[in-house]
Amino acid sequence: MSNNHHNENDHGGHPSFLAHHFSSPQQQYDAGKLGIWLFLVTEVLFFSGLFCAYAVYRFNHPEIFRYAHFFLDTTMGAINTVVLILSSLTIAWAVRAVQLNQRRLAVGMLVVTLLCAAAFMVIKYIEYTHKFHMGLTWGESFAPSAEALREVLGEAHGEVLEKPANLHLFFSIYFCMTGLHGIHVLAGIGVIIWMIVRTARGDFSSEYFGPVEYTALYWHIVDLVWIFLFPLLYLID
Amino acid sequence: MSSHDNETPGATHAHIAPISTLMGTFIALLVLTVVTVVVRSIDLGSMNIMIAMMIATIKAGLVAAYFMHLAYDGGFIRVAFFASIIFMGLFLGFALLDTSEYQDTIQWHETLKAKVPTEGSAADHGK
Repeated sequence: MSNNHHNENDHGGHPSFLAHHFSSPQQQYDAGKLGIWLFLVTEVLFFSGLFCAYAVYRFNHPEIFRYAHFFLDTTMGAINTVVLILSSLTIAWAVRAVQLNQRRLAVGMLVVTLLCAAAFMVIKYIEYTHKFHMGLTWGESFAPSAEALREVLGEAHGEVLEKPANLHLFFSIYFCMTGLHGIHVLAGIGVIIWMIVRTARGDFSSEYFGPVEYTALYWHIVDLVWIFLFPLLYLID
Repeated sequence: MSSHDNETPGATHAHIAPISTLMGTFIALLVLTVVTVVVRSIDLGSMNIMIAMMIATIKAGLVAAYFMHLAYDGGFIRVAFFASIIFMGLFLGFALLDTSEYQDTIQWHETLKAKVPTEGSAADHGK
């Protein structure tokens, strides 16, 4: 430690982005990266509670899931999957751009990511309002309209499916899982906007790009969760 | 740059993903998404969910390895991430092993509710 030529009263030699308690940009970057990864680990464990609920209910009541998935629009789910994959590509590209001092490209890529995130939420909104309209909600408020049930029987391609008991369980799980994921998308939108502002005003460079990369890592986890939610909720057979 | 070299010892070193890697990962993810939607229409019984989960895991692996740079960042980050996956597996595994133990109680509760519909739900909350 003694070879750290660190002077209490002298900030002149340090780059402006280097926080006082780090001895080098590399140390600051590595510490931040470890920090965001530990957060992502807690996110995996956080979501695993919901995946556990899903697994237990599906294991015990496969008939509920088989019947209920006809209420979900696979096309909307597939579009949202593609939108999130595209946003993962663009934010990864934004990290590359900022690492290479391509500021305009980085801002552009972050804006495309933001638009994808917004598109995801718009599609989610359309899906949610459609379900609310048909009475497909959680718990005791679950009261599917005749229209909703007719839609399902049409979707089932002539298969005669008996309406299983406790159908609302699927929608409780559906809204918990997609709702928590949606909250993460909203949080991501906020952070991405912040990163667009900071990138545009020139905070970042090939020397200092940690915050953009940490945002990207968070965004990839959001994509990762959806990669599992899509087949589990929309592609049941 | 050289005049600052003494003050910024070793500017930040990190992996820069080549465009080919990013695009390759993106296209692979799109192809796997199409595959998972198409495979679903082929009825393979209980294998369908296994195949869907396998494809999702491969997609997740691609995102983690290339978009999240896990293929290049070793050490503690990789250990921490895989540990979270392992603990998630333990959590789900033990919960599933245990879940059939409660089916009798649930059945009993369901019959009770069917017998006394109004009392049943009230007793359920009042207990």
